[in-house]
Amino acid sequence: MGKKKSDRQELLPGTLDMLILKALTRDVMHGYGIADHIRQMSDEVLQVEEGSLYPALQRLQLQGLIASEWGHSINNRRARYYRLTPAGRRQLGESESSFSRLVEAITRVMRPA
Amino acid sequence: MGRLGVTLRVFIGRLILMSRRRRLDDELRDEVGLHIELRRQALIDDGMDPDAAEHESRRMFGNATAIREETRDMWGFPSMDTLVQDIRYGARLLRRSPTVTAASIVSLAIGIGASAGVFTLADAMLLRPLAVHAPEELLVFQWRSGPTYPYGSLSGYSWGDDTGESSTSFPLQALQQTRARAQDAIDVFGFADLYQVNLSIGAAAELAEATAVSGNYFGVLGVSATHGRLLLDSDDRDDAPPATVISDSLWKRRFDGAPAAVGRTLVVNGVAFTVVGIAPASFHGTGQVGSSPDVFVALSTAAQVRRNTEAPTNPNYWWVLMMGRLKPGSDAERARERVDLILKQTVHAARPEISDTDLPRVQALPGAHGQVQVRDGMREPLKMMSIVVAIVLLVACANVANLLLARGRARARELSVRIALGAPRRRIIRQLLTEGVVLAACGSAFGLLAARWVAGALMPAIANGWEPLTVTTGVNFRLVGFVAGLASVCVLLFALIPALRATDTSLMAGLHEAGRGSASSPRRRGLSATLVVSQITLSMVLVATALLLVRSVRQLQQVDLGFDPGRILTFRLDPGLNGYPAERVFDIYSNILERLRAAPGVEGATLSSHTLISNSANIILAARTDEPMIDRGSPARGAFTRSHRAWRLTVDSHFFTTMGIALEQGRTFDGRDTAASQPVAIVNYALARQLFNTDDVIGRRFRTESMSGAPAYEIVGVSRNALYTSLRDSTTPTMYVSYRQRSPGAMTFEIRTAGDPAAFVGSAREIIQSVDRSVPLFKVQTQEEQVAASVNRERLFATLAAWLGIVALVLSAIGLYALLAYTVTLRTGEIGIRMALGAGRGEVRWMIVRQSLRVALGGLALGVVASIAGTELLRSLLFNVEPGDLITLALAAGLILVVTLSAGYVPARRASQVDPLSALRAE
Repeated sequence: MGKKKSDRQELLPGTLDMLILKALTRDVMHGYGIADHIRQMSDEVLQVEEGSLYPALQRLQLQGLIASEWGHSINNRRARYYRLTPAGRRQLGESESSFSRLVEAITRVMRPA
Repeated sequence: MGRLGVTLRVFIGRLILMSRRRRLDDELRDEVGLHIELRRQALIDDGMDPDAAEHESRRMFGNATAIREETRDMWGFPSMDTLVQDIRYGARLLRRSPTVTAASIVSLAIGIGASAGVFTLADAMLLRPLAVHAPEELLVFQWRSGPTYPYGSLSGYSWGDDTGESSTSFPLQALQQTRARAQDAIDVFGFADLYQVNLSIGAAAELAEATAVSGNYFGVLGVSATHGRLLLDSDDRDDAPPATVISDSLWKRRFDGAPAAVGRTLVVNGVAFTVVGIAPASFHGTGQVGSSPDVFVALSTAAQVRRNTEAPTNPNYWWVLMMGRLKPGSDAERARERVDLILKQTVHAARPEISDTDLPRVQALPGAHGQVQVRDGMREPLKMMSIVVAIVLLVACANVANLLLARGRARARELSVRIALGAPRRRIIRQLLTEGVVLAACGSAFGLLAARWVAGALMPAIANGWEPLTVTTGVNFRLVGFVAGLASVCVLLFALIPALRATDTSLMAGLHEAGRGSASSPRRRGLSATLVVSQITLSMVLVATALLLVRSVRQLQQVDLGFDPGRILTFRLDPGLNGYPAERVFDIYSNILERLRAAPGVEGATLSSHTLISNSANIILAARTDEPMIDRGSPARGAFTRSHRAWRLTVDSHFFTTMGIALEQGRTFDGRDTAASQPVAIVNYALARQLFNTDDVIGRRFRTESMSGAPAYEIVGVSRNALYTSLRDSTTPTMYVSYRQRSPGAMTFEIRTAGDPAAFVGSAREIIQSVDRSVPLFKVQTQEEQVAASVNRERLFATLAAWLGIVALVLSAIGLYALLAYTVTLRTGEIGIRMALGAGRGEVRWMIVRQSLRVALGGLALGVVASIAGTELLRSLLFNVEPGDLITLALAAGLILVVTLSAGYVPARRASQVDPLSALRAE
């Protein structure tokens, strides 16, 4: 706790899905793992309201971008593990390239050469 | 993955999720619980104290309930959930105001039920295709020639005028040639109506419908037998043993549906046939709509069954109907050209004198529904019925709209509150529409139940009355679709406008207005008034229609028949169908007449070739012996035909005394008039004047032209004019001839009894059986029933219009009452002030009555205009009354005025009883 500082950023709209897909490229994960992964990889800058992960996971599943099955966590608790589907992998590629185009464009505007 | 793919996948996914809601909910709870637990552990591991970690883990997760809610929304269809909610809420509200609800549902049930009933008929008559394989590939052939008939004699439908002749009948050769020479374009098959035949199975004889079909008929149609086999080309040969396929209904009726029926023998008009198979229940042949043959035999046996003298292969005898199935890759025009060429060659070979321009030109029509002539005759009555029920439906919708408007006012406060609390307008409109849908659904359900009954009741109005009409009316997907569509339109009509109105924020003064009820909003009342005006307009049209039809039926009932139909029993016999020679038929007839006359309770017995007032007749041409007959094909033929038509009735010598037709000059037939002696005739005054322009015609001679030659008759008697075919033909020039001087065909027996004629049926049957067991009676009825039945269509339309007129009128009265009652409630304060300022009760009453008068007169003015235009459509049904008849319109207007003023009186009275003090205090 204690990190109530302005260096924490709200997510850009629409990027949560991409972050989830990205997180899942490495490994199958349960919900908590994904949330924790995003936190840690962004050096705790990106603030995901952890609960908002779950509707997003549900949506991605419906779209067939991820799949899930029940398994057991390390400490032997029942947990649902999510993995990327081939369609999800394709989607991630598209999202990444369009995202980097967007970032480049914004950068060009903000820091004109 | 394509966008559509994703959408579909999401949809299916949702469906699956929806079905497993509870389990998913549990799983989600577990998942969320695990998440929070793991986070708490992590925080404790980071050194946070357990209580703070508990709190922080939940804070970091966010609003778990909201999140679960959001996830859950994806399991299924949120819009559907709200819909279910809306329906529940709507149903609860509707239950809370049972009167409005019941009135609305009854209104809609009447409107939708009547429409669904007419649709059921239209569906059965016009829309339902033949129950065969790929009916849309079928074609029906007919032809049109110049004024010279290309045939010598014809069996089937024909129609035409001075410029040409049309028919669906072809010579057998045309069928055979087409089958042989046009195979690349079309598979043609032929069939012929054998009409009613005498059918004996074992000892019991009955009359049945029979059709002769070509050997490839069932094969091309793609119909297969439920038992045994259907007819084949090998059955359609002169040397083949007579085989028959029977209908499912005959099979069930006469063989109790036993498979052993196959192989049994049945006798059709004296010819023995072996039953080889049973046709499916859905198959009713390919003839006119409503026909339903019980017996199918091969074309090669048609001549034997028919027992006429025409050789079936005579190229001048046209008796085969032709249909066909297009070959793949062919089209209707190519098939038509082939048949056209073949028919022209056939005619040219048989009748070289016919010019090329007069040769028949073949037309190919879509054949999915079989033959079209009877169906075409039904369009007009069905159209009329549709208009009438559409009017009723509109009135019903206007009524429900008005009721909902009134309730919308009562709910103005509730809606205002909801809008003030932030409910989107769209959401509220949807809620109100859903209530409308609930109403419409209830109305439709009752309507659907009523449809079959309505259809059954209306059926006689579209039947022509002299041909049997077999139609299966049931609930099918077209009917359900129609009712659903109709209900949707109704909802839009009666629910959308009130919903838009109720939620119109510029009118939403609800919060302060509805509570006080003083500031009447003229726009809302304006809409109600418009609805009531339109209801009255439509009611006026219906009432005027009903009155016109009722008056016309009364006129028809008062027509002077020229004979006495009381206490007369009629039935028909056709012993000739058994193949008896003419002599034997004569014997049977005179035997039966003798025994009938000797039976107790019989005052007289006679026979005639046609039943009177049954719309059937033998119409020929009669001319003086010094007049030349104008031949067919001559330009003057049309005019000659019109001025020389005579209706011939073949009768027995007792006909005039039994039927009560006064024979005013000369004598009736007697023993002198035999087949060998001079043909004699009795004419009525109408024919006497048409021929000789005088009443003094005894002993004069005239000639006739008919299919069966042209004998000259000597007039031996003159009778009063009596009706022959229908109540509408007041003076048909009629000649009566003795059945002993003509070949005896089927005859109607007429028996005048001392008591109830219907009670004599049993005795009559016994007498006929005692003469010949194998001659069945058919069309048993009293003469009065026949007369009544002949105006069935008119009477049914009158009854329909009268009932629906009453319904519409009552609905309009309710609408007007509701409008005025509401006005009075709104204006109570104003009325109180007026009365406080000295207005009398009479003045107040008049104020309200004036309003109802304004609405009523508005509706009537429009109604008169609409009626004058609308009743023009009725012309064919009217008798001795003109469409737009002024007296009728005045009567209708008077009736509506009385009803509407009565509806307005109660609110007016209530207004006049307002107590000024309490009204002002309430203000």
